[in-house]
Amino acid sequence: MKPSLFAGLLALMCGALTSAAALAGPLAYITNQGSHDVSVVDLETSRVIAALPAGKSPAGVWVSEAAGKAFISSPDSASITVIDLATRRVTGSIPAGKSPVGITVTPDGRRLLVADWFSHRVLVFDAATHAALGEIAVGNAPAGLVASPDSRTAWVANRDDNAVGVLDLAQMKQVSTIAVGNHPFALELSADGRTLYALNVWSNDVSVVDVAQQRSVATLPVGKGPYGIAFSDDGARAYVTNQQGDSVSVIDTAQRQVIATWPSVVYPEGVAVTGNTLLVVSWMDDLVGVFDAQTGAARGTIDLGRNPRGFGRFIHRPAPAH
Amino acid sequence: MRAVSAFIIMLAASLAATFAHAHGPTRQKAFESITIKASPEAVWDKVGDFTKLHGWHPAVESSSTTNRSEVGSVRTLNLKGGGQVIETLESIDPAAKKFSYRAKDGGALPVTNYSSNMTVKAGEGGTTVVEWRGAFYRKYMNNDPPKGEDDDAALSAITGVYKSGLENLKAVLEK
Repeated sequence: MKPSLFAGLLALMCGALTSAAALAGPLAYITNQGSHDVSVVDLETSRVIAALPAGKSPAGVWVSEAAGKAFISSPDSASITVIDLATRRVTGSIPAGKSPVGITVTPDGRRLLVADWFSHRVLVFDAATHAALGEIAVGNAPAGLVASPDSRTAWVANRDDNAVGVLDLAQMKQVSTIAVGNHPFALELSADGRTLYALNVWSNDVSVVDVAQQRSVATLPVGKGPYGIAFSDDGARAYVTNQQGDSVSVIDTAQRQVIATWPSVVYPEGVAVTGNTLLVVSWMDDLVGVFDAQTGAARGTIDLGRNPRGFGRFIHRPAPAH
Repeated sequence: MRAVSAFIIMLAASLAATFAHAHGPTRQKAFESITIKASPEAVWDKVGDFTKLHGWHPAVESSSTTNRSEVGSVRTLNLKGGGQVIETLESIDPAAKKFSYRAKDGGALPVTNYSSNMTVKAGEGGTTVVEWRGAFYRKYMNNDPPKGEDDDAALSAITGVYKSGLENLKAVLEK
């Protein structure tokens, strides 16, 4: 290697490291379906630090610290946009089926799963190389996706079947289904991997699924149009956005009960928790509302792009600087 | 040749069926607001009555409801120049001065899956701000919509309903 090229590379690398280290706080990557980009929000300063182009009508998002990337699904361009978490830049685009919406990355950071709405399949990619690894036939209108802590199993909300599909990722097969409420869209899994939550948009409730038993063990009525779910850092609470109720339902996960319903932003969709901060994306008002995660008290808002969704896990917590 | 064209028709039909039950198009929204020189109570008296849209909206000739301003009440709006819109009251909160309603299909409007809400808030210096929001999909649910059933048509129709309604509401209340 020529010395000048080496020096140049070194300078580039140092530059990247410095800029990454300058932002130690959590970042949010929120999809804006109307402006076709992703707002990168520095949550410490409540500032949008970048708007990254992301295909056409980006909706789904999954931040994988294990993969070092955020993956964004854009149904109208049938593509996945790849964002490198270290540089916060778009580093790739992957063609993905007809209409990709739901998206997840296995916790080991190795596989990217994409629910292709119109083809009733889950597409599987190598999260490192972006190579297509295969497809899994699932139910009708697959939406939300999440994978088990051991990265062997994934679940998909087969919305129009009112069921959750159980996917064996070694066999690349939907091996069983679990009946849930009416029109499940979003899914989330407790950190211990034992409890799956399916948000039923039409029956206005949440199905609590015992993963070992493979059945719904409780149905919790929430507000109208439950759309997004996130857990507190300790897992004791789940927060569910009620898209048609402009509210957030707070679930005590141990009691399996809704313990509070807080007024929230207009048309709330994506939701996330970091520390004592609850973030709720307002599709209608093009902003993210910042709330106290304990009390629900409003702390302010941060403007985003147009028609933000934030469907999936959108928070990145950079590792502490060395 | 005939077999091929029959196959293409079948393919097209199955594709149409696939697209018909899911919403391929992207959800659209409209937002309009207006400041009125009247008290929030006076404004709410006008807009919070689900039975009386024809009393202030210039496009509505007459209307009827199944259960007044109770949740679940279905109102039928007869538009000036013909056509109907049928909407169900989904929530109403007189204390917070807001209500929401939904139309399963757009009727005379080129939209589907249309929901809307209206909020009355105190403005500055004794004025009142009325906010009207809607979320909807275009009328044509498959790909490649014809003109008049596309996103632009849906957006301009709903925006037109809100703008003309709010402007006339202001005129009526400030008279």
